[in-house]
Amino acid sequence: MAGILLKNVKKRFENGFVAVERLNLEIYDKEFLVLVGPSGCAKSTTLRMVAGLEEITEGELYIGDTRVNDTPPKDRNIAMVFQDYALYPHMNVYNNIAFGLKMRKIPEAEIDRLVREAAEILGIDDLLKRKPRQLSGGQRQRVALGRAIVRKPQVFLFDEPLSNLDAKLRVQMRTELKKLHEKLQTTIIYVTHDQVEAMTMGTRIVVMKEGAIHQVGAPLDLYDHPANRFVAGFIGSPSMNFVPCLLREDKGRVLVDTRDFLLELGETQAALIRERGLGAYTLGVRSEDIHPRGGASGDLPTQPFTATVNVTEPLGKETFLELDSGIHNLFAVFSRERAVKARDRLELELDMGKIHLFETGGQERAVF
Amino acid sequence: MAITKGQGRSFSYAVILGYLVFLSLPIFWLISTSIKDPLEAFAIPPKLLVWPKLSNFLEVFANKAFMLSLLNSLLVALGTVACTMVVSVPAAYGLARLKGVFKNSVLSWLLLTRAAPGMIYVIPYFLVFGRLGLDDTRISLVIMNMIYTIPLVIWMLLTFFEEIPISVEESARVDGASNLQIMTRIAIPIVMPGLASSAILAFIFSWNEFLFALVMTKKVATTAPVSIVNFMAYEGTNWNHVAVGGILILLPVLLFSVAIRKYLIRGMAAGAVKG
Amino acid sequence: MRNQGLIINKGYLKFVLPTYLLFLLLTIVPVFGTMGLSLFQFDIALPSDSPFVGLENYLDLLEDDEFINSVKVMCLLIFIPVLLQAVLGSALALALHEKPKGLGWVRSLFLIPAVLPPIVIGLIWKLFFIPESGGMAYFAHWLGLPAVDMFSDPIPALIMVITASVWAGIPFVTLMLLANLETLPASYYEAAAIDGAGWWQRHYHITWPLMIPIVKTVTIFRVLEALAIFPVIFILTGGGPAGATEPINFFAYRVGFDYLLLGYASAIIVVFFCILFMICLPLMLRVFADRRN
Repeated sequence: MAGILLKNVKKRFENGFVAVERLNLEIYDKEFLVLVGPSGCAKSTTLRMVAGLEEITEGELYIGDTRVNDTPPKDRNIAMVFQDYALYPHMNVYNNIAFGLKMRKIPEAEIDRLVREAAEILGIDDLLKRKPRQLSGGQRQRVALGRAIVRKPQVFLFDEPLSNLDAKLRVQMRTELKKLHEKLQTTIIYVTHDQVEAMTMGTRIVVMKEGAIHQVGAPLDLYDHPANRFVAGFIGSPSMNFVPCLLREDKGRVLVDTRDFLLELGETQAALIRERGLGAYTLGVRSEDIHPRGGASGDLPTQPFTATVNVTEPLGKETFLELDSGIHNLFAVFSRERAVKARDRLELELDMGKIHLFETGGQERAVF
Repeated sequence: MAITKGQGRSFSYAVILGYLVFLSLPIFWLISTSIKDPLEAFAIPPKLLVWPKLSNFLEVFANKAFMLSLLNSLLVALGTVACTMVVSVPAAYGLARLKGVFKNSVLSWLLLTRAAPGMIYVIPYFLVFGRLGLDDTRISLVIMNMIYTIPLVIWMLLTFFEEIPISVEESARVDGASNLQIMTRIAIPIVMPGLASSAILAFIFSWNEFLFALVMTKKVATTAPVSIVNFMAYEGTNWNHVAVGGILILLPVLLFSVAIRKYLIRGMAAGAVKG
Repeated sequence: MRNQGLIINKGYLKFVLPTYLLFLLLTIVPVFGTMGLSLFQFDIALPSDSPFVGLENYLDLLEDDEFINSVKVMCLLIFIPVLLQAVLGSALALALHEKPKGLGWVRSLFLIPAVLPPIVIGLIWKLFFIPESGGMAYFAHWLGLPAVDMFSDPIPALIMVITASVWAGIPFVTLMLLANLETLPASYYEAAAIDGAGWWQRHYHITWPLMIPIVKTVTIFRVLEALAIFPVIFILTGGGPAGATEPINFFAYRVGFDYLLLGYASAIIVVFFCILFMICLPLMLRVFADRRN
């Protein structure tokens, strides 16, 4: 079985730079795992360590049950798709795909069968005689995929494969890759900086920053229950609103004081805060959880506040709003039916079941 | 860029035309001398435009010693290119993939040796090869030429190899290729044009080489540049023949250069062409 | 097989070492040989009888008039041609940069002098300068000027050699400068033109400062090339008249292979090498600075 285990992995480069301090991650067989994060977070480095293109300074790497730290890439039974596809420019499509098989000294007839099979799956069987420079971006991508799948590896590694495609093609390929995963039932580790790709494609997502894992989980888990402020701000578009606030007690209730408006926490939430301690926190609320008065769902009591509309950005089905609540600016999303224009003064309420509070120091962990 | 008006334009035309005159005058004279009747050559005042006579060419073709020297030049050049490429291509590839002190010192030494005066090599080679019985042989020239052609080819191929995107080679590595296989099946095919032009530059260098051939050869292995000097010694001063000889020597080099003119600048920067 | 990264590196070493060792054999050994030889008074007829003389050869050099003359000639044959090549080459590069109509093809002609065998270049100019029947005589007669024998006086002889040298070197300078000119962003010039700068002013204030780095590099290349001059002199003047066109390496050749004083010649060439090395150093440093980018 081809699960992957990274245990206490550390990566130090020759110039002394430590990209990864202590990474622990278990990847389950057959899952589609996405490593996502801003540039410099070491997601590509981690992928390359799994591939064997970067040496692991300390720690262990297991593919299946075998420790593979010292195994060269070609013996790890993995396949990799690079960001720039890395097709061999002097070979035609057929030979590009066949190259890995030739290296393994597989007989010609067998190679032919496997190549044509892969080409058919990807719909490139009519391109076999062409050279890479004669292909479009999307076609090249498929050839890169063909090269990977033809070897029937245990694990597929993708390094930002869709970054070089135009927006439309990217959306199309996302679906295709998901379907491919369904069909091939093989473990995939996928690296991207685009959180939309991560959310739409992964069965689990690993959010990384500066060489450390911040959270691992299913897409909606990360969306609804981010572990810290970074993950909360990174996942979801438009980005979550963050408002600095003060948590204080007043007549037995726990209040969130943003200076623009006051919120009262429900019982469970209040209990969690009392445990952590009152004081300065950061309030997090997503744009879709800001509603006009009377529009919030859920059964927690809501406290209304007012804000002025600064800018409206109509997108057709929805309208983005920048709101000025006094000291703070908030981003909200209203459905199209709510007619608003700039300089309107609105009465708003928050969906209290969906707010988050983050500590202000250290890792800025979420209380809830 | 041509915001060309007034001063700029007249300057341009003047300079370029002036240069064209400077460039072509001696060449015209060369050609005219080669096709002149010997009597006309001594006409006072001298003539430029004459009816072409091919007899000069025929006479030179009949000159066994000179034609042999052309053959020698060809053999030495081919030998130089073959030996140089075999030895330099893997070295250039290895250097392209290395980093650090070793690489820098290798490159420095390659650069320094090209700058050193030819005589510093000639004296010891003359003595040693003489003792070994290798004087007046083509092999000795091939070996000595390599002092210059190896750095030339390595410097040039280095940049070509470094331009290959590393992801292509990593992909091959994941596909199961060893370093050697990556070099032979991926890297070399990709830089073929660079390989060809390096080979041609090495050829041109060898063909043009003078000092080593002058010192090391006597009768058997004389190359064309040295032979033409002998032309002038014992042929008295048959300038017509000399002119023909000059034209014959420069033709192959000219043709090759046209073929690789794109890469010539790169080669020139690598210190190519002349010794 | 720990540290796979390092092994991949070591693997590449295998590619380089054999060639490098061969190359060191071909170059370092002879260089040391020459240096060693310079300490002897080498007699080629009776090698075993050659006395060790230490630095005597070098001391003799200091008093050798011919050597001192050859140093002077070397300086002349470096500074003047390189300067002329730089100036004329720049002018030509600027001229071509303007892309005047109908003259674009000139660029392809440039290759010719740069690739010709140096011996042929010497030959071409020899034919041109032959007294009475050469090209110069023809044009002199045509223009009604007196013909001059360039070969029998020092200064005309130097002029001949310098002419041939410049003729051969301009293309390289021009092509390199032109390539660099073409990378200069047009926006600088457009801004300057809008600001009211005339043609000469634009080039003086914008082009020249931006070109200085490449001019430095090209100059060093040309100096190295000028130091190596040999076939042209051999065929054109043979070093004459009376050593007027005999630079150091030619002098070394004459001493070594006409007089067969190989020990002395070795000393000459070692001195020359030292001079050359000092010139070469800035180039090497520059090349490595560039590679670091």
